[in-house]
Amino acid sequence: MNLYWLQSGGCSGDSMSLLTYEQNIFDFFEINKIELLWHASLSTISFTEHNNLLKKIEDDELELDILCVEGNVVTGPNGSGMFDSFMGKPKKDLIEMLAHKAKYVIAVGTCASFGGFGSHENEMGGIGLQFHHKDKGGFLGKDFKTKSGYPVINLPGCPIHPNSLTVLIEEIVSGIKVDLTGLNSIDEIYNYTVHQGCTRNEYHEYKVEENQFGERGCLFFHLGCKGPTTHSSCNKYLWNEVNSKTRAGVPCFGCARPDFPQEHPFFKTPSIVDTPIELPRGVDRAHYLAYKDMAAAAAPKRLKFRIQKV
Amino acid sequence: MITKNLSQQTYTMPSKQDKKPKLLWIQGHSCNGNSHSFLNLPNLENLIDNFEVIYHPILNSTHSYQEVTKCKLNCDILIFEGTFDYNLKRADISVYEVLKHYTQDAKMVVAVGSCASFGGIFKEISPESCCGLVFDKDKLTPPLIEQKGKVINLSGCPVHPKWLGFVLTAFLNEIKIYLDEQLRPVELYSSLAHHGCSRNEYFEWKVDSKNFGLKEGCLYYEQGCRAPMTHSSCNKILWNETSSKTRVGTPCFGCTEPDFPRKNLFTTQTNMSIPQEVPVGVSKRSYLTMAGIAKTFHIKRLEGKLIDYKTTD
Amino acid sequence: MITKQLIEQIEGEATLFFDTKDGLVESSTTSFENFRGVENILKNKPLFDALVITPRVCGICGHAHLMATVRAIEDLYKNSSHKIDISDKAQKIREFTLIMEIVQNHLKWIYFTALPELFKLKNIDKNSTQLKGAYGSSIISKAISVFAGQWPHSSYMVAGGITCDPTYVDILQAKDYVDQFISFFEKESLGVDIDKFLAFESCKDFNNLDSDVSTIEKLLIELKMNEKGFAHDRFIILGEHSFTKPSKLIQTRKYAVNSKYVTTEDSYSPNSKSYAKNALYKDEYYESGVLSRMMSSKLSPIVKNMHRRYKDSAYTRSMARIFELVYLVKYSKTLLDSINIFEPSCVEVTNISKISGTGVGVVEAPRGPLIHRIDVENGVIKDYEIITPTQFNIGSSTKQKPTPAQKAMVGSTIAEAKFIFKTFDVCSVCTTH
Repeated sequence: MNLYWLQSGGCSGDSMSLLTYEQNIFDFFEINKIELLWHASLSTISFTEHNNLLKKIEDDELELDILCVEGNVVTGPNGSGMFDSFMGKPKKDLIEMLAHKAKYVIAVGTCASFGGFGSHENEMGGIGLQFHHKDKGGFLGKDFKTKSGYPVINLPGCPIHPNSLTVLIEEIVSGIKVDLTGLNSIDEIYNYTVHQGCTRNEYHEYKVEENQFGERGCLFFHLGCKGPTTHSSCNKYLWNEVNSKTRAGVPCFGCARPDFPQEHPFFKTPSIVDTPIELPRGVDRAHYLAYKDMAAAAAPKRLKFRIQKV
Repeated sequence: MITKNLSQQTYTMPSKQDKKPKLLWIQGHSCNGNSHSFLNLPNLENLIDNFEVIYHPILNSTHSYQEVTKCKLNCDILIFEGTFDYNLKRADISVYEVLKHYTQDAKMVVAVGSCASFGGIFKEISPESCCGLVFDKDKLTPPLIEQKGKVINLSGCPVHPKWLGFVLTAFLNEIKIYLDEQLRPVELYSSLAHHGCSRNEYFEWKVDSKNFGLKEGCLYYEQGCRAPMTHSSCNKILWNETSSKTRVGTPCFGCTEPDFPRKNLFTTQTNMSIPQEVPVGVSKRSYLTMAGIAKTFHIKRLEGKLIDYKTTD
Repeated sequence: MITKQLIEQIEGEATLFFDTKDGLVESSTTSFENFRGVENILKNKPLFDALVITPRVCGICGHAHLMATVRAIEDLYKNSSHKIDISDKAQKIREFTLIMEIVQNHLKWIYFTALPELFKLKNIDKNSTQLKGAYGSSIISKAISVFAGQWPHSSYMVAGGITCDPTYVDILQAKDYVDQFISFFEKESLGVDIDKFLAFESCKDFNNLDSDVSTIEKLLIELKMNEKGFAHDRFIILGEHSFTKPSKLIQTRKYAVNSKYVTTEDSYSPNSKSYAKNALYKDEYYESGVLSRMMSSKLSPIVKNMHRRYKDSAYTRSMARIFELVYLVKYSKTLLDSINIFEPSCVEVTNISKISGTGVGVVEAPRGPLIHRIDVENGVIKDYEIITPTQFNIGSSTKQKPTPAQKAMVGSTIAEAKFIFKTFDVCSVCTTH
């Protein structure tokens, strides 16, 4: 199969992340018989060759299997899309053309999936490929389907964990049906919450909260951690095989959520009477308050007084 | 990573020592699990290059075990694997004599694995003569009780290769290792196996697992998981950089603790459906009340299948 | 004259007593002097605890013990009229992790036993590649830990199936690790693509290769190991798997087998107390392990060709181990591809405290058949018998009726005999357990 990797309104963080994949990513492509037609950072073909390639795809002389789009679709200024241009034309036109030719379209990263940076009221006018935040539609419209019958498959994350992409590519190459969540991301990666597998779990359980960074307690109650409300597998499939934000004491910023980046400060939890406004899904508030108060009272000394050295 | 040429030495971790310290690895009653676990250490080649390996049961060594038993050599760091037994001879020589001799000059003695730390599984061979180097289960004991100032216990069955890697690197770089009351490095053994378990939400909301082989549910309530009572970093520093027992649905057997192995390892002892043993340091009464309330929540997301969940609001 | 030799680094030690004449071995006896008594430790323990204890018989093949235990337990349930039907998925994942353990075992044999010993015999001082064995094994261990949580010493196989509930992501992760291992092995050890290697038909195919594996082949020939190390040319396989089936072979003729005919006898070791017992099948000694499996397999023409030329010499035995490694690595990927993750991981089983009776679990461990026989009353172990593959190969008997290893060492110098001994891939801890 072949793959075209297009970068639009993004920072190319997802490409960088891919290069950290535990296996050499080129070995990965080779083993899965993927021909990388074009990638802005990794390709070495000439400008002319690139143009010819695009023309071949447009004229249906070459069938495009997989289109990966990194970064959101830029519509600014004022809908013209010229903040992100290619060969004198807005990149969004190229995206539109390629998306309609490709068998599979993958939105790599939160920007491409849901809009991400530049998608809240601003002049960049960034929108996701098939979602704008949590609303279906985006650039290609809610009814868009590729030749394979799938909608745009979203791989949110800022950046993505390289696992997400390699798993999806392997499923596509093997012809396995890809199970999608309601936000069109892969079930098997995105149905966990970041909270599952966090090493500060006991502090969370007993409501031993931190008010400043560099300590060991839970970051959910005051310091802005969105782990319990964000769907991603960061604490299951660790980052760089070693760690994760929350394990390193950084609150989860909810970067895989459709509303990322949120409009309130990252490092502070919006709360009412010391309890976070947003609770883990499915938990009712009054009940939760009573439970957590009890839990805080039951907290063992070793947690309350941070006796543990880790 | 894969394409590095292993027959050429690429990078050697700098050591503060002038010449290579001598490492000697000897065994009591052992299954060799710790030796094999150690072979899985990432970058093993670079670490081991900093030592002169006098003897190791698997690795290239400068001497044979037979030569070691003549007790004419010495070592800087002595590693002991397996249960100590006063009556044990290996290669016709008493292991006790060998241990005594090499402990004298060693700057550090590492009891690697639960057998060497506390007695472990093979203590049951002969309970009167078998024990760990400094502890017999949870009681202090000879043979090395007098030298316990230089002993470090790395309990675990087997030991995690990175825990041993940490001690060896600290040794090379003369970094002080802080120990707990069981002589285990606090930086590795202060956390619980429970920290970082991917089933933590199920533990929190007291959703027990109905059987083995399911992603959902906590194994503490019925399947015997001892993670909330066991000191280790298994879910922090993953095994084989990949996983851990509880992440694949196997209950923690508490293998780093002095009482390993217990009985009925796959079942939780309960009293009126509440586990008899509650997490370390939590009062039983508070735990019971918490458990009671937690069970009144019925969070659909946690009661259903993990992967069936749809994220639309 | 009798010479005593201590053999080290064979997952423990063993003492060999060689009776030589004019510098050549006429006969020998073997003594394994370290004993732990795991079978005693298991008495009166709750049955399921055996799933935690038996892997600790051995650090390198603990997984095989786990599988033998779980098979014995499931056999017990069947014999007590509570038959358990584990899913195909559980069966395949168990096989996959077992296969991976066999692969890392053979890799370690190549780098920690074969190469160093061959260099020693040729007086070549060259040992810098040893840690390739550790590195390759660590990748394999990752593939195992995807399902088993950790390697060594996992207990993820339980009565009814397995504890893990893998998603497709896990299957792919395991495949990735296998691929990583293949890249490493092809480059660092084999010197050629694994498919090409598996298509080799004769020893000549090694002539143009320049790699660690071809070095082993060349050294074996130079040291005339193709003319030495002959055992009884009788082979046995007792474990039932998708990659091998139980049978016995007399040279190349196949016959059916049943593990109930396996018995043990005390070792003949007049010079020293040995805790090992010899394992026999219908009162005869049979070779077990890689050569047996490769001779019985339909997919390895080259090992059969080597056998045709060099019989069951030390050369054939050694090369068979290398071929099995490559063959299993390739097969493991096919196995992963065939797994249906929607099948249940573990079915419910009757409470063990209601179960009494006997059960047998047989598995092909890296070195050959591993048998666990259990006798249980109301879920508690009354008796537990373990018979390990090294007991088949490395028993110690009289000069008139030698075991496979004893026969293989006849006619060589002591130095050669020690190498031939190690071509059986000895596991001292398993032998005495």
